[in-house]
Amino acid sequence: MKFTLHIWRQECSRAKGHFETYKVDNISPDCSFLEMLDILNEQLITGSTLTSHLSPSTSPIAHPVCFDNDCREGICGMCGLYINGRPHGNDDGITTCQLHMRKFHDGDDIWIEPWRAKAFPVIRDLVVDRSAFDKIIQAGGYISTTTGGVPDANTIPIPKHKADMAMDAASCIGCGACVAACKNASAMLFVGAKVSHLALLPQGKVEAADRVKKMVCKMDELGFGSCTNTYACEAECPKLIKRQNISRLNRHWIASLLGRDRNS
Amino acid sequence: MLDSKIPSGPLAEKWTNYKNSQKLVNPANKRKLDIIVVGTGLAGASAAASLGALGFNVDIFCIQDSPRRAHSIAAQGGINAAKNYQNDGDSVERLFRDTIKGGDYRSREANVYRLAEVSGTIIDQCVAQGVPFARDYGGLLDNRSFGGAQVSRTFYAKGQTGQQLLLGAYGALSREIARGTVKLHERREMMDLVIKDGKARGIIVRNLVTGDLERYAAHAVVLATGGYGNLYYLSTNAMNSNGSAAWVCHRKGAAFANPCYVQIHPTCIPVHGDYQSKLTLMSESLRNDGRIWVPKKKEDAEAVRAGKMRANDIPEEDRDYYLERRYPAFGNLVPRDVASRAAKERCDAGYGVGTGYAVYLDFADAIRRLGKDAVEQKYGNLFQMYQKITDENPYETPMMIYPAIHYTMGGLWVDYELQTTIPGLFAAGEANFSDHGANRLGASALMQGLADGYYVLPYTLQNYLADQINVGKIKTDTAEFDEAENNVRQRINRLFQIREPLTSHPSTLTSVDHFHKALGKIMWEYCGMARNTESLNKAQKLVSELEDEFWKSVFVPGTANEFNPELEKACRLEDYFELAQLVIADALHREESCGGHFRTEHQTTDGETLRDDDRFMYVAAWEYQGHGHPETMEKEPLNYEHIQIATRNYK
Amino acid sequence: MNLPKIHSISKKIVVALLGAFLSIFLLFHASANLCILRHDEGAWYNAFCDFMGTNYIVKAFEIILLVALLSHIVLALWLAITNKRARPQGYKKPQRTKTHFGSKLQVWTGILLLAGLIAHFMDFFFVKLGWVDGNLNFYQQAREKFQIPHIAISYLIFFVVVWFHMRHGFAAMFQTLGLYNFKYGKAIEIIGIIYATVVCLMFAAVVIGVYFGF
Repeated sequence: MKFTLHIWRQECSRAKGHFETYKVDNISPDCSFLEMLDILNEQLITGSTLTSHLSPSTSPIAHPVCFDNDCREGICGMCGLYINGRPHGNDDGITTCQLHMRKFHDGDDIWIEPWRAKAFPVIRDLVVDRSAFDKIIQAGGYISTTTGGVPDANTIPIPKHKADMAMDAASCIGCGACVAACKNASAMLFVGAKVSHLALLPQGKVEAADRVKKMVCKMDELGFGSCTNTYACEAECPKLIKRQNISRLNRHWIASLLGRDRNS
Repeated sequence: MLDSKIPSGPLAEKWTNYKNSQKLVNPANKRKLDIIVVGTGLAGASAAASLGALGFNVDIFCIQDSPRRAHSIAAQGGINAAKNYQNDGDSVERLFRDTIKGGDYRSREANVYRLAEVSGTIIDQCVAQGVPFARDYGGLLDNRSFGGAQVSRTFYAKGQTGQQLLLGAYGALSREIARGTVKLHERREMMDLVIKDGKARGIIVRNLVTGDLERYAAHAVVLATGGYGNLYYLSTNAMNSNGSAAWVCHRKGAAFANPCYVQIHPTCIPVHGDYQSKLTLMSESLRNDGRIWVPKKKEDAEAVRAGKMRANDIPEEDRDYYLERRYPAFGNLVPRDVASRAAKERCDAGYGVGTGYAVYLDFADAIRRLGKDAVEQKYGNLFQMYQKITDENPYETPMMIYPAIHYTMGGLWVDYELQTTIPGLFAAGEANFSDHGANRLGASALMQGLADGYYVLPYTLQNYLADQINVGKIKTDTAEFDEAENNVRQRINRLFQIREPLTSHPSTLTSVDHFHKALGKIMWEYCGMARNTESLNKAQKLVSELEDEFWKSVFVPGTANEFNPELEKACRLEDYFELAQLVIADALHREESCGGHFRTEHQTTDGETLRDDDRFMYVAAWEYQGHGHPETMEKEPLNYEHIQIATRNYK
Repeated sequence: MNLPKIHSISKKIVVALLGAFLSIFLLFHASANLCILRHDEGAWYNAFCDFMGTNYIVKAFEIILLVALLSHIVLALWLAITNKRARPQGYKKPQRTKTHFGSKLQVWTGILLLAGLIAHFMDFFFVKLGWVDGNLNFYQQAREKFQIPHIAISYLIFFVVVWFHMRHGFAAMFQTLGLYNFKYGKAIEIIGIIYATVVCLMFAAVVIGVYFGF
């Protein structure tokens, strides 16, 4: 398969970026999207003739395209590219590394952009800084336990459906696709998922009101937008986390304003 | 002389005795002590969180953009614990025995017993942190079974157990970061260890965003940087997982133990092309309900490979469920090394499907027995993952799987306290060698990482640090730090120097990945699932040739002072060349087969591993002698006082 | 200038509550409008308008309503501006995510509604307040205006915009107030559509009815 790639290039966070156009050829349909970029980079490094470097470049050997990636099996949340108008590309319930070239047509033009949000500044090319998510978690996205001195695991039975719901919310991988997809660059699905995961479990109820307050304040402070119920986040979440978690977040926010802990 | 510092007393009381007699640091003094933790996986995050909570000043480092990305997150199946919630006869003793036997009698008794002993509290700790383990309808914790065990002792959270455990540890870590006891340094790669007066006193890291070299000092350094599986290029490890942090410590004097024990996981999605960057694991838990088979007739296998026949066309009587045939007692749930070799044996004999290097993992029976919904409930996310990658529906056609490099049992040599041969340098999790012997059982890696981090290091580190309270703050402006930093700078410059003559002839440019792939191929081919003297000698030669080639023509673009992933890869590959030689040397010297190390010269008549307990019942700890010089080996004899040594038998 | 610090979710909750309040008012307004369709020379409708114009409780209510309307607009715009700022640099490629259609329009339908509302107030509400000259017999006023084709059509378009705004707003309100859950989610969506449709049809019925001379 053949593709024309339009990729955002930006040398560092202070530099001004621009799109560059590249061509790749001979791509197997079973190749993953990131492997396709590996092939492009290999061509850029070796200066292979297969790449016709369409736009004029100052240096004879172009620097390979930088993009974050790690596990390449859809769980670490490291990769994330905005491909042809969709975070993680044109498929549902996957991360960028799970996108395969068979999802494209031969000869397609592919536009590749980094996540765009004030809270996620670009580091280089397609790599963005998502430490804002860590800061939100540090604000309270945990149950305060220290090591040791905990009761036996089976002391508190948890109804299966509650545990399952908590698990679904907890499966968030923190990739940032929700923020990238949201027209307001809002992190409500990320925060909602963590608040839900912990608030649904009896262990997490103790700190529920405090947690929701701190996490939401932090989210606002870091420059994320607010939710206008477009649900693009839900549509693009690689782990299919549902908007009901945002509703639960709102519910807990109200409860925290009213000064009481809710039973989810 | 290696001193493993195993406490005296009966096996079951060793850990308690240790804790009762060890030295402690009082709370006021804890504030004066700094600890560096490298790595934020299960071992690193849990250690940093526990040490921070105790009151030490902790600096923690990770190469990714967030601690939550560490590769522990990708563990799917579960975590073992001797809780005996199922009343099926489990106990600490049994978990201990299964682990020793699974490791083919090549692990240290006392360490393994301690692991089994603390396993139960790990589950308690995780549940308190809000880890959403699977539960039954009564609301109590559910279990499943894993390879090498006849009880159900594996706790799980869908197919994402590693993720949930790591997020639990990450939560605890985040809490300590918020409290200020732990400082997080993300996108930093450890480049060197700083030793002062014979003790580990700091590290040099490269800031991966700016390229700056930074110095950090501490009273003790904990390495939790995982294994070196990516030596083989194609593995189930993440792209950034690497062995370099452990290797620089090895260069500085830390002994490296049992490097040839590499685990090959039987259930991975097979290789399908040259461009492939990694192999995806399908959880071992699938072997609970999936049945592994190949065609009984060679002509059927050939027809399937040629695309003339599909798996479902092969009638039941023409299928060879080879694991059930060879190992009736454990069936599809034999340990990983056994299952991997059995698959290789069938494929080498010409019965492989797909590209010839794949076998079927079939769920048709399970779907008939439990219904599609129940199967989906249990394995839904794995099936989805498989379908996304291969474009085949595993509910309808059997999955195709093949073994792949997964985990490295070898690692830095540590004593009972998890301290390496460099005082003040500790290693935890996959980075050390201690608990799995020659083969790790499924769902034990998570258990070991968390046991080390939550329950072992917080004690043993104190025992070391108790002497250090009067040392005062360690300074970074000393000659030792200057020297280490200069070394790193020179190493990096050397990589850029190669390219100067190259850029005038662009046709000779070769990428880092090209060399890494070539190295991986050599290792897989000649030092993989089966090895022998001939193949290992060949590997030795090919690796040194490849290394020469690397230093002549590798091209690293960009500069040292910028975000430069190619430079990161080049630095890691440089270490892999040395590591590869050590793995090969260790494999050569160990003239027996045990666990993941299978020497074709040493096998039973029906193709099982043949140990040589008289000659090789020891840990091989290697010491670095300079680049290009063969390493020297010290032996730590393994004394089994408690357990009856037997031949591993899963039939 | 130091704006009071209100957290994003709190702002949205207020917008949602005010939206709910306004939606209920619209139902009330539409029901009252149906009186115009009676051929009683405006006896009912004008009596009703008289009551609205003189009763002090109603007058107070009117002020509350206006404040609610203005707050709804101000807070929503405030949110819209902060939301814009959360992404200083946009994407080159237009979004292709499958999303809730109404939401992206919400600000724009809101602004359109504001413009339409001012025009509507010029005909009726401002006349009553005496800010604008006009016929104080609203029954007559309505009957005259709705027979002029371009006004009737403008109003009908206006109602379509109202429908879009309410249809999204209804379910979104439940979501923002935390009442949207797995059990009733679908039902809330459907009720939202029914509610918006009924209210808008009631308004439209009056305009269409008058236009065709009922």
